[in-house]
Amino acid sequence: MHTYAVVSANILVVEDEQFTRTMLNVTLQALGFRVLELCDSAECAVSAVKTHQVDVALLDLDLGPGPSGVDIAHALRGVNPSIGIVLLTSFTDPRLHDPHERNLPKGSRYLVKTQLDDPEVIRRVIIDTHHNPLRESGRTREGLSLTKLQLEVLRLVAMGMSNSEIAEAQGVTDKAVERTVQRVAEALGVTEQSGNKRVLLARAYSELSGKSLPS
Amino acid sequence: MAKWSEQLEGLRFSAAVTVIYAIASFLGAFIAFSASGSGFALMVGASALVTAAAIMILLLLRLFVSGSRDVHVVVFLLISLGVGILRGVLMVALAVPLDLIPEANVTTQVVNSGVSAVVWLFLAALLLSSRERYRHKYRSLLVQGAAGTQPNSLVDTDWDHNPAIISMRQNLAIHMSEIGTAPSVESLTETSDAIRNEIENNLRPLSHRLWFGSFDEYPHVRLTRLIRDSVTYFRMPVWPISITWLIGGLVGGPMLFGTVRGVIATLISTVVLLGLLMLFRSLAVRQPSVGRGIGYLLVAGTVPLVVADLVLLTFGFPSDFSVSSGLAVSLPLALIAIMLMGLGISLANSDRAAVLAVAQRYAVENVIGASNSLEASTYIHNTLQSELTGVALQLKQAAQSGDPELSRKAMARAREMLDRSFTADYADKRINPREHAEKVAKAWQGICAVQIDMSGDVAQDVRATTVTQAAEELIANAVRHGGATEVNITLELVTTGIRLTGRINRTWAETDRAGLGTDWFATLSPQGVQTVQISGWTELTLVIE
Repeated sequence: MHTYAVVSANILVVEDEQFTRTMLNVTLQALGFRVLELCDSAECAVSAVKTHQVDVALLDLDLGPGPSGVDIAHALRGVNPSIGIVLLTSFTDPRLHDPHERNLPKGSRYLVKTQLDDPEVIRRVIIDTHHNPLRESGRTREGLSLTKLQLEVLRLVAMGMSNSEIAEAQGVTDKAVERTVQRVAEALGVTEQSGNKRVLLARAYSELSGKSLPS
Repeated sequence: MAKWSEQLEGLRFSAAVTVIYAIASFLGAFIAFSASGSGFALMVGASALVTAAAIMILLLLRLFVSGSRDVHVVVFLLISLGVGILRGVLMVALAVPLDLIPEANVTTQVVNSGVSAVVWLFLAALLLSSRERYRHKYRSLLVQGAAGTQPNSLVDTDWDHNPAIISMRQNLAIHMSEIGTAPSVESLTETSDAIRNEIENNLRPLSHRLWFGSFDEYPHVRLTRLIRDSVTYFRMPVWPISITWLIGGLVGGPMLFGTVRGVIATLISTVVLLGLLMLFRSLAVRQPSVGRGIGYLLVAGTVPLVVADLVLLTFGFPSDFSVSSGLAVSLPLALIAIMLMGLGISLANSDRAAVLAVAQRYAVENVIGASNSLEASTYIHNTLQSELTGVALQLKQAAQSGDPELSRKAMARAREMLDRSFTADYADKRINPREHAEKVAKAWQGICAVQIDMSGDVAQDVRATTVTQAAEELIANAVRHGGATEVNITLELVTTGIRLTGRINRTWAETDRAGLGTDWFATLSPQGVQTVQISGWTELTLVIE
């Protein structure tokens, strides 16, 4: 296994899936970080931050019933206002996980779970968060430059609805939907030349949401 | 459609009612002043002043009779009459010195103002309350339907016999049997890649299909869409419009044009209006179009008055076309009246249509399978897929490390996964509502002290899952929006349903809708949500029927 330049940072991992927790522990230690605690609950996480000097907390966004990773992140910031927050998620844009998720603590970063087998990405995100725990980065709040309405229209397109059906569902005109679809396509870099626009948009949505299209 | 007694419930002096009345007040005053032949600017200014006074009266009233509280229909009508009479008194006090209305008409103007206030305020409140009733009825049905759902009624969760799972299992089994007991670095890497491929080719599409099946949303009643449909299909209630026109004409006509002329003009115009509405409705059904609908409205608003004037003239009544010359100002009023009543009927129809649509959807078990589908999708995506990804990562690490012990462990774990019954695994992961509530309470420890008391009869009830979700939502909102550190929830069976009582150690303003998520709770509880502040705590109660 590769070794990387050691950066002294105390890490807390909060993940409900035991295997991922263990894997992260191994990877983080191989990267030279000190893993202080491996938690699967809010109680464990808060207690760890109260008793240790934790620099960065890696939190799973979806922890099942109860508080989400964002809730725990806020609680941790209540104990240690300068703790770095990295949220682990399966979604390219966390709004696809929960459009009504509360605001993130300042400076929080996302780490998409598919990147977990790339130690360099993990190392980079943790170091950046450790050095600048409160600095907003471009991707902290939203993974995409799409509004909620545009995401909703994209979802409906991915579900196979026509512009008229979307207009009917949204109570707007067909023209308005057409314009929104066009803006979404532009934002995602989908052009008429690259193929059927709706198919490509559906595929883009599936990829963003961490799921591929039905075969 | 709702009974009349139900229709008359939920009347309130809301902001929207005030706006509708303000329009009617302005146009009414303008029409009353237009007979004086005064200057346009003076008429507009005086009408605006009268309307401002009427709004002030209504706003003051809202301080005493809360705009967000329902009032009994008799009280509503009495208050409306009072508002109209006060407006009328102010109007004549302003208009008589300016010669905008003759002194002789003072009493009739005050009476006219009172009656028209009753008509407009009642109409507006009825329209808005019908929308609320629709939403409650729909939500009630939705909750009842969801509550009656038997778990697993739709999605086949016998994963061991699922074609996608079988395919994945077979492909990986073949692959691993070729490796044998002494895996090389290459074979470990290949197995890791094979697992990832199976996830992409079989598991993800499966969870994706289930996930899409879980989407279900409330149909939204959009005002713009309803208005468009009302015009396009000319969904105008012929008889209510005609009768309202007749009554309005018999009250207002004699005041403006004298008794004989007023009565005759009203009768003639009503008959013409009735005929036109029936004709247009039948034409619009055959050829629906927004443009035609607008045309029909314009004709229905103008022609009856012109015809009335022509008939008066033809039969020798003294007519100077003052009836139809008032057209320019009365036309918008007539159009608004027709639109409002058409909209009211559209809402009632959409109410019926929406409820019917929901019933049909239950029949095909679409809605009721949504949560079940989501649960199944979550299992495939979050549990199975995550665990397999973990196995793939472990195999890859084992290959990179070259450690035989790690390789053996990784292969053993992969085989264990493939030998496991996913059907049994899924069944084990599904827990009963009481256990789920305990799990939720435990999960919040460290952030918020949560206690959920669920009686045994509630845990057995078909609505238990729904109330548990409501409890989860309440806790999450209390912590996220209120910073609560203590939440106590009691779930108990009452005669009307399951009562959820939540006590939170934070207070919210009653009007702070965002705080406690009362909008969402209202979707569960047709009877609404009661919120009480008790010495630094908030107690919230809802009954899920």
